[in-house]
Amino acid sequence: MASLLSAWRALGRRLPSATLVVLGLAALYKASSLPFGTVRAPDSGFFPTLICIALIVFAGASLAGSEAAPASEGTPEPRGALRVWVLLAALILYAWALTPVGFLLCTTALIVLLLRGLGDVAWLPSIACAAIASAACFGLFTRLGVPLPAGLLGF
Amino acid sequence: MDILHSLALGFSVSLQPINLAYCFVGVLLGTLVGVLPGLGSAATIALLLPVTYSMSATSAVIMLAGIWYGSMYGGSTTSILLRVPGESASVMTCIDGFEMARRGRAGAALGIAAFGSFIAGIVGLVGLVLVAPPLADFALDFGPPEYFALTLLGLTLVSYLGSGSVPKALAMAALGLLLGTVGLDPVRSAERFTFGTLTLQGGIDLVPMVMGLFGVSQVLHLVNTRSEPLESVGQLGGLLSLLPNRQEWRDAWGAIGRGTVIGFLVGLLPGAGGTISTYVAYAVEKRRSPHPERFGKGAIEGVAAPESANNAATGSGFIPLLTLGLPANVVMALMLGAFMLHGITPGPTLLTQKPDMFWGVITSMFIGNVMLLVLNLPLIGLFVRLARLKTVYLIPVIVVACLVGAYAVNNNPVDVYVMLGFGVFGFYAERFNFSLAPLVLGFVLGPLMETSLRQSLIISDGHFEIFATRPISGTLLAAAVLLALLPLLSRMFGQRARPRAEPPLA
Repeated sequence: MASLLSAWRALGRRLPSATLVVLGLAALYKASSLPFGTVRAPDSGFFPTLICIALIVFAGASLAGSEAAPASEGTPEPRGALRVWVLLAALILYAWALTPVGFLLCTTALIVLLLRGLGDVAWLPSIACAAIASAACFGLFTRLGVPLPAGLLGF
Repeated sequence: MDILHSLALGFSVSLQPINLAYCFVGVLLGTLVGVLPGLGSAATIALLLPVTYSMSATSAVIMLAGIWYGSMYGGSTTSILLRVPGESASVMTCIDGFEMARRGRAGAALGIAAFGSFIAGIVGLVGLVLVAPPLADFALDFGPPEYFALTLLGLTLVSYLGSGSVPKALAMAALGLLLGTVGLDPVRSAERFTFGTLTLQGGIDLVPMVMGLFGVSQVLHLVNTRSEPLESVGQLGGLLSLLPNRQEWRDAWGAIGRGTVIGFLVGLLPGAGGTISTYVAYAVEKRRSPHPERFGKGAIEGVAAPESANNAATGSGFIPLLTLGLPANVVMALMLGAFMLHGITPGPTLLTQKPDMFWGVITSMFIGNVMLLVLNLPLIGLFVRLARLKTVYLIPVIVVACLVGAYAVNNNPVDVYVMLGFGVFGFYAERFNFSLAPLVLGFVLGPLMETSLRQSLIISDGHFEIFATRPISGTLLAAAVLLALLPLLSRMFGQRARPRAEPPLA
């Protein structure tokens, strides 16, 4: 069981380098459809082909030696991975809802999630902080010439 | 005389009220960034790139440069009082600075850090003023082969001197170069890796990319890590308590001088920058000291040398960018991005075509260093309180700045998705020890590298000897090849020749 676990961990450590090798191969395949030209007159595919080969070689070299454990700066938060994925899901939802719902509502909801959901700040200060910060941000950026979407509030 | 005339021109630009205001904002933000452990100068500059759209190019670079060198000042405060380096370049200051604070000499440690930083910052700038014009003049003779060799050497050095393994760093540089090819071919304008989409025709935007790599990934890291309560020592008295005593000055002078020279020279190297210069300066001080056992137990030289080194390195770090158009580190790559957002390409012609901007930015750094000295000493108490700010309040600030910044690039939510993608990539890349600096530098330098390679081959009728037969490109190329092969050679000869970016702890 222990050896299976350590083999699984070793595989996990090699996964990033292996992904880069696969990415390099896929990009090389895609680059092969571009006109390569000649060494005297290199065309659009010349440089990408060389770079893809370099990526495959270097990622392959790191794959051969990737035994180091993942970096662990600081003490991991309990349920840290879950918090990361919750935040990412919220950010993707934010990007999707930004235009139809609007900056003010989306940003207020996101900040409440960050303060209350991930930071354990009480509801009332969370909502107050979020509303004030969103309104201030909206005012500042529209003044700077960045037209943020008004969405449902439609002003 | 020429230099005096140029400096007068520079001061006439940097002393304009608007530029003074941006310089102040930059150094203040930089100090705060240096103080706050959750946010680095690269992330802050990335977050503020969209804000610079509405500024003049000169004001934008003055402000962003202020963040860069201001963060070096701010980092020492929390290193000494809380043993928390706000910046990686302040890690060495923790060792002896915190010990001095424990022994009741916190004021002297902060004082020598501030004075050492100021002296080194000014000397570094004088070096920049003296070295940049002749180097820019020399670089005017560079043709495509020299630029290709220079970019290749720059990327190799960044990969070699950065943290993590060399093959991983080189793979990241190659990935950056590959990402830089997305969009239209710079020579023939043919589409590459666009998958038929209009969005990718213009290539990947630098702003959402760096905001994701440095801003979003930092937020994910903060969410994933428990924030530890900070230990604090040393009560500070008034301003007078910040003055080192006569013996401390005597001990620190030499260290400041040596740290300044080391910082200036190391800062010139692509990939080295402030952090490595502090390790070298600390190691040199410890080695040449008649009492090396004092290091790690509160030796003032252990504070003076690294703090001087990282500030001298900020000045010299600008030399490759302003004279050759080659960013020496990730912050300079972002600075290059700021120049390019305003349609300006830094390099040897910047001095002749935009002398007001060139000298305006340089002289603003003299003014910024004076501002930092005045700002830092009286406000240390406030900065310490800010450093105790819980990360839960910092996270929304970074998140909203990232989201608005990415959206502001084209007023398009697609850029927000791009930023999130790079954020996830950056988070996991760092967890698996893949350094992000070579990726960004590869991305920024890619178009220059490709254009110069293709032009060189066209000029030489397809003969690769053009890179070896021209003296400058030949030398640069030989250095790049040697560096790339060094890990292999050292393994073959059973030696570990590669210097590591880890602190030589006592």
